[in-house]
Amino acid sequence: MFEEIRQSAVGAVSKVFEEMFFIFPEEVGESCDTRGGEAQGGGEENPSAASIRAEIEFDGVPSGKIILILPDGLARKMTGNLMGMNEAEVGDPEILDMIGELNNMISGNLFFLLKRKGEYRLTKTKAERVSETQTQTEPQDGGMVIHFSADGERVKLMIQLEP
Amino acid sequence: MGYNVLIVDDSQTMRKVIRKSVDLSGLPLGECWEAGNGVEALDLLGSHPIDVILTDFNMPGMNGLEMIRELQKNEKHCRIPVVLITTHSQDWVIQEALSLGIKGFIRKPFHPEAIRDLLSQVMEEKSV
Repeated sequence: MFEEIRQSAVGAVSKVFEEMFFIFPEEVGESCDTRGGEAQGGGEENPSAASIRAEIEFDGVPSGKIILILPDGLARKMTGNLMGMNEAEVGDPEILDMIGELNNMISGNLFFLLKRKGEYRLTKTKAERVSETQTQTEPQDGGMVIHFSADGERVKLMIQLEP
Repeated sequence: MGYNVLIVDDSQTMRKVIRKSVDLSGLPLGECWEAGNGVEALDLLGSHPIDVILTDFNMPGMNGLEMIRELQKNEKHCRIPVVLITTHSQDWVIQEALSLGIKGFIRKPFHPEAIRDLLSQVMEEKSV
């Protein structure tokens, strides 16, 4: 099940980034799951950059949550491109709204790509600005983390399944 | 005079993106209105002549399916064509929306052409 979810997640991130933003993310080495243990490593982080964290919960079999974390620079650039605005004009409300919607699109497409069809209900995404330390949180036992490189920046997707 | 469009989505960013796609469609459209959920949409429908509705599913307050059910109860609004634009790609949402008579659906992410094509089809049916 974990591998199927991981593959669907990678497919969903690629589809949304490519079709909506013309950015081509690549999965990078540190992806892992945490069955029976803690996650390993979080990839290289840029300590000077603030990040945006979006979280969405899903109810189904299984239930859980999907968390997307990406650096401010990339979030700003993607928001500006999508809205046809200069990056300097893009404010926090637009960035948080767009990253919330981005996580919503990734989550919806992840479930669409799953071979195991079931009824999943998504909550409204909550998006917030977080410190670098907060981005290093790892999923508990029963979760996975997938790292991507997108436009030279690091994107992190965490999937936490309820036991 | 063109067709008036109502865009219903709780994300301001997505409303702007959909609006941009509508503007770029080249179709003979009139006014374009925006609402943040089903409740706001129903309010707008009370005071503005709307010819087609593009709506999200997952919205706080009143979601897209609940809004469509409310439209169907209203003699004045029950024949307004509705298109679902949603990230919620689960079959049950699409199936339920289709059973409620929506004219089509678009999954996010989408290309602007998807909105143009579906709007064009809806307008053609409406004119017939």
